[in-house]
Amino acid sequence: MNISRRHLFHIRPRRQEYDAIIVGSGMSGGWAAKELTELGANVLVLEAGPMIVPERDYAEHTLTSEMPYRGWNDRKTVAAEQPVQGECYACDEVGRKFFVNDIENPYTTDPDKPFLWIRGRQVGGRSIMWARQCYRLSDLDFEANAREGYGVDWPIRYADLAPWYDHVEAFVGISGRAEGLAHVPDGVFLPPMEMSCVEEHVRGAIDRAFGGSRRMTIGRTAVLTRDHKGRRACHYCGPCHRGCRTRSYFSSINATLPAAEATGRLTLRPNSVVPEVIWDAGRGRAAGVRVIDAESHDELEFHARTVFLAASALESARILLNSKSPDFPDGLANSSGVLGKYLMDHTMGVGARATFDGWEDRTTRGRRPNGVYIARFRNVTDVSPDFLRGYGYQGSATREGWGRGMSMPGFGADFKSDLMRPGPWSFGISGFGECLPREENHVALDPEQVDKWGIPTLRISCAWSDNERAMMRDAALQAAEMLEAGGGRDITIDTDMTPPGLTIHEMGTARMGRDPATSVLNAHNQAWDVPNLFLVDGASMASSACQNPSLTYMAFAARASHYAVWAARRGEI
Amino acid sequence: MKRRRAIGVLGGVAGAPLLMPVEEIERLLAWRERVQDSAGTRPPQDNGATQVGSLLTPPRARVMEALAEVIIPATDTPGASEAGVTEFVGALVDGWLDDDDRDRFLAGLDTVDPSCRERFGRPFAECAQGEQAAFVHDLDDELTRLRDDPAADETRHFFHDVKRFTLTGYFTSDVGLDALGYRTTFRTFEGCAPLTPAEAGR
Repeated sequence: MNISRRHLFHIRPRRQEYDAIIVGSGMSGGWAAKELTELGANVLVLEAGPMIVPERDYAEHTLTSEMPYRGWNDRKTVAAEQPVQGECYACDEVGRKFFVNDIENPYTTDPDKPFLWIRGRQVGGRSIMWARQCYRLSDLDFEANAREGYGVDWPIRYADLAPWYDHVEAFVGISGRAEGLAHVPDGVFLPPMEMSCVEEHVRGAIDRAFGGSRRMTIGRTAVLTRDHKGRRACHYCGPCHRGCRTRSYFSSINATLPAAEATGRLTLRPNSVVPEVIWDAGRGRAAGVRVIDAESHDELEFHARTVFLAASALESARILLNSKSPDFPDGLANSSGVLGKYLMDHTMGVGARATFDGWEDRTTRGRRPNGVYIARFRNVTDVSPDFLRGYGYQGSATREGWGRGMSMPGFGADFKSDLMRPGPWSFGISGFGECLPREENHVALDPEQVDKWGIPTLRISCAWSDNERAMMRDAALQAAEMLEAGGGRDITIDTDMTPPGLTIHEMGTARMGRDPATSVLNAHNQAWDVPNLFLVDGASMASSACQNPSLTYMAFAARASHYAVWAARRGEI
Repeated sequence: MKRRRAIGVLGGVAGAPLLMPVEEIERLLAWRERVQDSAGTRPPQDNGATQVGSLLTPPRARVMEALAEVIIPATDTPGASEAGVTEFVGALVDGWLDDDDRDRFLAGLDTVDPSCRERFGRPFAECAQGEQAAFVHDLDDELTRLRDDPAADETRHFFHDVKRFTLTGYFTSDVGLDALGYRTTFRTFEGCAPLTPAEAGR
């Protein structure tokens, strides 16, 4: 990307007041930076981690033969330095440099409540390693809390967000197929990727077996199927999470930050750890942020008319919990007391796999960075007696590779030539379920532990509830039923839910609502207590829905940025 | 030492009270595979040949190389030996395997030559092709029997490691990628493409 050295290293004098400071350069921060600078604001983006230079740091074409452990990871170093991060599939032998060092970034959990906090601290944040699936939420989701009395009512409805979904999708470039489902609305799509033979077959079989009530579609993914806004179409090399020199998938570093840079109004400061937001009690506003230089440990201050937190749901909550003052003894913008509470993630790990006979003269060609999606069908039109809300599935059907030989009898010339040919078709699907907002799932500052920069760390207390467990039991059974309906054999079921955190959809720690007494943010991601403070990452989510959330964070970040500029022009902030 | 550091991540840095019970930390860290090493040395940073002082000693390397070549022999494409499988196994032995897994693997390798001498009067690497095939056939049968026995764990048999190290070492090498016709980039993704003659085995 073209962030010039001028902007990188010539930080303007500290006394300067920016129009906005954005804490975090990932998915949400990149969108705030693009929108604010394009609307004329002078913006400082602060990123806790180092600069990423795609031509130097991306490694998507590294061959297994170039890796010391051939893709099996440097497991002893991972165990010593990244025992939490190493649980994420993308923290692999090449890609693990994009994940934090767990020793430098500790946190604690409750006994018996493991939570895996997967983090990326670098320019681009986790938008470099994300899995790129993009689904809109709908009024089935925005009305759910009010309908069922769980959590607080969302202060917005789909109609409020729909134009912002349009806005971000048109820039991001999302390939997908329109299906006309009201509860997983269609968007602005580039041409869809192809389904494999077996996926197409099972799509039809499920449609027939369940009377049209269950829809399998190709994944909606932020990967370009044709050239788009100066970025190249995908070349199907496979491991997107290691970067992409052709910018074929969306990340802040591939798209939004360069757009912000092009305005000439972006200043990006890497290696800037933000421990707290500065509260100006006299003006009743945020004055800016305190920064600890990640390398020198120097303490600095930066000032701005508005402050945007986009550091991730947990880091943004941590920054506010750390921002204590006589006015806000429990953390800035926390007069409601709900800051850090109602933490959610999506359930993962439960599904089924089957082998399919036939199509022996066919295979997939290219490594599709995408799978299929089965839209939620539970509690959409009917009511499930066992649980609230619902789940969707992600998966794919491809032919097995040489790895099958590790659990097959045989050796010698015939064995070798057999393994060089494609194996049987195998189809696995895995459920991603909605998590209810529950007060007891929360984060607080650890009373004793600090990180490498002396900043108090989080104590995370989070566990699945009976509702999520009941939902995933159903997801396992329905996965098997659908694969069976498609003609699969040798069906195996996976029933072990992964711990919260590992889905990396953590959200809800500064929820938006209609009432300042029970929510941190209003309908514009603006803190009720601090009018010039906006939280534009997953912290704002009042419920989790079951769809992958990044697209919604992007839409909220763009919408809040426009609102802030209008409010500033009207003199409100 | 490393174990204590890793626990520190979850339970608190030096001096802070441990907030998670040790068993819980153990369970968490063992979630997907056993990622804890018990002691061991820093893994080698290079992808070089078996180091001087490697625990995959020359006699063990000869056994490993010969076993791998029986599993993946040279045919119209090169075999395991030319693909450098032995060097890969050396890297695993010295920098990747946990001590107890490594010791079990090496102890298994060490049984090969003695039992070959007993059966054929020669170490494995010097046996005739038919003798080597018969020997590997018996090991593979034993592995299959363990795999089909719900009460057994075949992954603890050294030949399980021999086989997975050989297949991975071969198919991830330059030689193996070439043999597979591996391509990095594609003009588009095809969901239902006809097999190439090589894929069809013609």
